[in-house]
Amino acid sequence: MVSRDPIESYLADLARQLRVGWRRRRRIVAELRGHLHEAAAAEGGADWRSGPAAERALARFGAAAETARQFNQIARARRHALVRRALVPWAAVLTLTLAATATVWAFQPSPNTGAALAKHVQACPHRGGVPVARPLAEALRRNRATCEPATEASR
Amino acid sequence: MATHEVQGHLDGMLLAILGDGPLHGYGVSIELRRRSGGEFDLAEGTIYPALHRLEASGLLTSRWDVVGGRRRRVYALSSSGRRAVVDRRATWASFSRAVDAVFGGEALEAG
Repeated sequence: MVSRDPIESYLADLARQLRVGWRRRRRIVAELRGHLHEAAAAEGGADWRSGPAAERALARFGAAAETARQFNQIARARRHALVRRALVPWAAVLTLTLAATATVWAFQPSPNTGAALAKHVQACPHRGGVPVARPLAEALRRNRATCEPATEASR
Repeated sequence: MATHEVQGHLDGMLLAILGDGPLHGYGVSIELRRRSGGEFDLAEGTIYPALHRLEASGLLTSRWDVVGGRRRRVYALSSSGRRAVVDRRATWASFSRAVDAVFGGEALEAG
């Protein structure tokens, strides 16, 4: 149903263009409704909700699309910040785990571990940690290769 | 004055207005127009995203208030917002002094 109240029509149009969660959308619409009602009432006239006072208040407020675009930009920035905040601890844990594993392997070189890891990383590039794991695995394989003659000799 | 010139300083001006006490968005827009002598006649809708951004960055706090049967979201400076106002005032003072000097053809003493 189309509202004949210009302020409610404006708010419905704005709400449609908002790309935010329902709680934030509800807050934004309630907040802007309060502003527009106050601005229209300040323009005077008994019929401020539907008369020219409401139209003037809306004209001063600006286009719904532009206001929605600015709110959407903030929501997008907030989502990116949340993702970054969630990923940083995982990246730190992964890096520390790989560093610890590499340290252990460096002191106890086994003939197959480095090659096995390199083979695994190349076979499953979609697995997490590839940017870190691939050069590490390559380094370990080279390390093992240099250890091999000694290993063979000690047999 | 061009809207984009005002937009670049909007956050600082909103913080400065709220530095004098809590206000709702409509009150902020009236105060912005009053203090600028009508020079900064922005679309009023643009101040709300700025208020939300400042709140998200921890410089403002907000709460619902009911006045005359109308719900209003009232904004106030947080403690880091109060520090930000002091910083921005100082930054603006030195920036505007430098711009004045450039437009006036005078050189400021380096310091």
